[in-house]
Amino acid sequence: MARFSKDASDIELMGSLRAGNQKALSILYDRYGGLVYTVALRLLKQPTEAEDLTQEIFFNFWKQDKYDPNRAVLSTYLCLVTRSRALDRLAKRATQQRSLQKLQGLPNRSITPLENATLSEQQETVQSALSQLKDQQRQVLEMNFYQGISHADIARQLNMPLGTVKTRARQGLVELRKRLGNTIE
Amino acid sequence: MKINGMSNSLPDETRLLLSGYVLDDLTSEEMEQVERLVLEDPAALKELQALQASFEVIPQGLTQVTPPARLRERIGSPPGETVVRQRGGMWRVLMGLVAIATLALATDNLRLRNQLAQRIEADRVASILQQPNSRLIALQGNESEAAGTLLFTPGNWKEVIVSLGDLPPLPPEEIYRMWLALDNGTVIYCGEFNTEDNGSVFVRFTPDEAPPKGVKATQLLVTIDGSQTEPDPSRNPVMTGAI
Repeated sequence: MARFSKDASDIELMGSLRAGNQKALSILYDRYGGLVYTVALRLLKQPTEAEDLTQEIFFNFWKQDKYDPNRAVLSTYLCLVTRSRALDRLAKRATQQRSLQKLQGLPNRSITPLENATLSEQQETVQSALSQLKDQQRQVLEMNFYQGISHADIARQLNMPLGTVKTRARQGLVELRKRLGNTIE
Repeated sequence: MKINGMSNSLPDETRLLLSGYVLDDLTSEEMEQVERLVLEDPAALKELQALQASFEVIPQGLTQVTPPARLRERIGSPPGETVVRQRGGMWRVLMGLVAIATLALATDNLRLRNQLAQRIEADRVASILQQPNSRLIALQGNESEAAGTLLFTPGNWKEVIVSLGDLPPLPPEEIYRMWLALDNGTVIYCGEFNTEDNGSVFVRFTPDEAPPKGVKATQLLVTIDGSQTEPDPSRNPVMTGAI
């Protein structure tokens, strides 16, 4: 059985997991369980449902073995899978899901310097960038991400013209990308 | 991490169109336009991928919530495993009973119990102060005159004493909650409190959870939360203190 330490890289741990060492899954959970649970809780709102989904995400990650480290770092992959599964649970498999699939027809993006940074550095950088957006832009962008609903639904919820919602969401994403600068290239 | 500006200088209009593609709010004609553009222009493709990456890292902007310790036992078990859940359910029932008992006590002679509590805590303060490495952390209101201190012994997060003043008293449906932020980006819930009518509070916490070994605490946070809702660390702090 493969040997590994708690400082092993994600790739090493995945190799160990594939070789049958389930302890590697516990270490990956210690590394990313908080992140997965946080995203699940943000979308599902209910702690027990977030626990169930976190369990499911790690079980499927282990058993289904669909993760390709050349396409995304593990933290980004787990966040996106959690979001996607949470939206499934909310029965709101809306346009955002298609957007991720649609891009698969284009060349893969490379892993960015931000994603290669430590989790705490990533969080500090993204939190700071988001805090610099206008409140209205951030609100629409977060509704888009965490509720997975169309801009028409957001416009209805906020009682706002559709054009305004679209503009704010697009400007919000452009601003976020500007604030993240070369860390995201 | 150090952030330099973008290396890309596309017109704003194109950038907004690419953003719309990532957000999936374009018409089919606009989508085709973007797909043609990015296949012909490497700078546009690079920018589209940067926008996509920006969208995908949005969850990193969340303040991390520490999952309940019981969840770790379930990792690796097939979804739908209920053994631990049942234990959690029983725990919740017990916590509910404790909450009901606490509520019943809370209506009874509040002033007398506060005086008693303060006397007990004065003894605990003395006991912590006698520890050679005990530390006092200053807490400051972010948009108010609130100020106070927290006393604890480094390496021993089982007992902390908090004394705060000039905090606005809250309506019954709200409560103050205290959190400990760690350098791994997670947050530990410490406990909740309400103020006296004069905005002061003197309280002893015995948090259920301590920072994991090797992880340092960086900051204390006080938030206003719903008194009947689950603790929510994503709320904006009204007081903070650096450790």
